[in-house]
Amino acid sequence: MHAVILDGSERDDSATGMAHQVISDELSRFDWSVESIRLCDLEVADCRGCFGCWTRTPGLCIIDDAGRDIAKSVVQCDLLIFLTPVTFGGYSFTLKKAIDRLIPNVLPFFKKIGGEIHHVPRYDRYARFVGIGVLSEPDAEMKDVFNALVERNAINLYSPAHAAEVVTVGEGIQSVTSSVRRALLKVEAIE
Amino acid sequence: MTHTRTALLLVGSPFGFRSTSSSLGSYLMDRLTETGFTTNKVHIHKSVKSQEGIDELLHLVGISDLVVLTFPLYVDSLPAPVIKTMEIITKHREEAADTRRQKIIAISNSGFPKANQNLVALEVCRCFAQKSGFEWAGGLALGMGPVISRKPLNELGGMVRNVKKALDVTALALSEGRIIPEEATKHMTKSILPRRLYMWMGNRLWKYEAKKNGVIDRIREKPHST
Ligand SMILES: Cc1cc2nc3c(=O)[nH]c(=O)nc-3n(C[C@H](O)[C@H](O)[C@H](O)COP(=O)(O)O)c2cc1C
Repeated sequence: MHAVILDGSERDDSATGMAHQVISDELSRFDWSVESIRLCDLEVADCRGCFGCWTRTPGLCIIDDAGRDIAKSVVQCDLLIFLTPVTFGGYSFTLKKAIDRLIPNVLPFFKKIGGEIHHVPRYDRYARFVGIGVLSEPDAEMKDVFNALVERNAINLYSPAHAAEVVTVGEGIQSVTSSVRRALLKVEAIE
Repeated sequence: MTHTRTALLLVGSPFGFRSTSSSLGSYLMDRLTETGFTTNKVHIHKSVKSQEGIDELLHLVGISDLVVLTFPLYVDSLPAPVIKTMEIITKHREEAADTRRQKIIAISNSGFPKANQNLVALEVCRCFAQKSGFEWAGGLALGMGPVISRKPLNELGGMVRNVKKALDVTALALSEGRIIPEEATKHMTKSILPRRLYMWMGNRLWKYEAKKNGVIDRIREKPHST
């Protein structure tokens, strides 16, 4: 089983770095192969909004850079993890750049999912999905927004199971580990 | 002497001033001009590419009484460059310690029909306002944004009457120092077209585009399967 961690933190962010290590260690203990993608080390262009990935080069972004490889890793993994400093309740710019480049992985056509209209999946299977946010200080509102965003993304990513957890800078490793475990347990990635 | 109020439109679509985001924002700006506001416009994606653009953006934000942020919904949230801009503005304001009272509103438009899919993105905008010291004056959410197809609202006839009503009510409220009234949010969430018609038109349009580009046979291709 293969997991992909999309890490949207900056190089000097030790709290998110610790969370990354914890996620990776927990998964490795349960025999997952872990692909850690540190987005700040990669050149990922911004989505141009052209929909060429639907009507010119179906399934492929027209920009040939790391964004394409990330979209491929996301399709091929069994567990997708978004790890990010919580930024105004949502994802950091660095993570969001990569997420905006994931729309080649769905079809343009509309269909109803749970009473709402969404896109038709392009692939036969999609990964389980976990969002781990790192808050710079305790903030109940931002935590709620983060949880709601993961919830909504899970629909658009067709995740068969999903979970969100938020930790705060300054939390000890034990506390971060128990949050990470809770999320991984919820999606049945660990026992 | 009375102070002329200044409003800034921040357009957060890669298509800049030729986007649905810009159509919505420009209509609002025109109404604000009628009530005595002076207005400026910035295309976010272009501005954040250079230090010069960033400096200009920060200057225009600094002199504004009202900031209007318009953007398309991207994967349930804001397009990445808009988040980057928010990060830059927040950092700048923390350092500058500007204490002027400034309001901000946000207008999100989505491809899916239901306006409420934009609500999380508007919550992100509200958190940004709080974090960067703006007074949050509310958000507007529009579904079926592509129907506007980047045209000025005044060229679209009766189809966008509720969108215009929402923006008229919003402009009046803002000019009187109020926040976006519920009446405006309600008008904006009304469907521009019947849902079934929108879905049918959308599905046909994608096929038409793919056919034009000679890839209709490959439209369901799975390039990342192997
Ligand atoms: C990368 C990308 C992601 C998108 N994600 C969503 C989405 O999650 N929900 C939605 O309703 N529309 C989504 N859309 C559609 C846009 O929000 C819609 O086309 C919008 O009207 C574009 O507005 P603009 O002309 O201001 O750029 C997405 C489009 C792109 C290119």
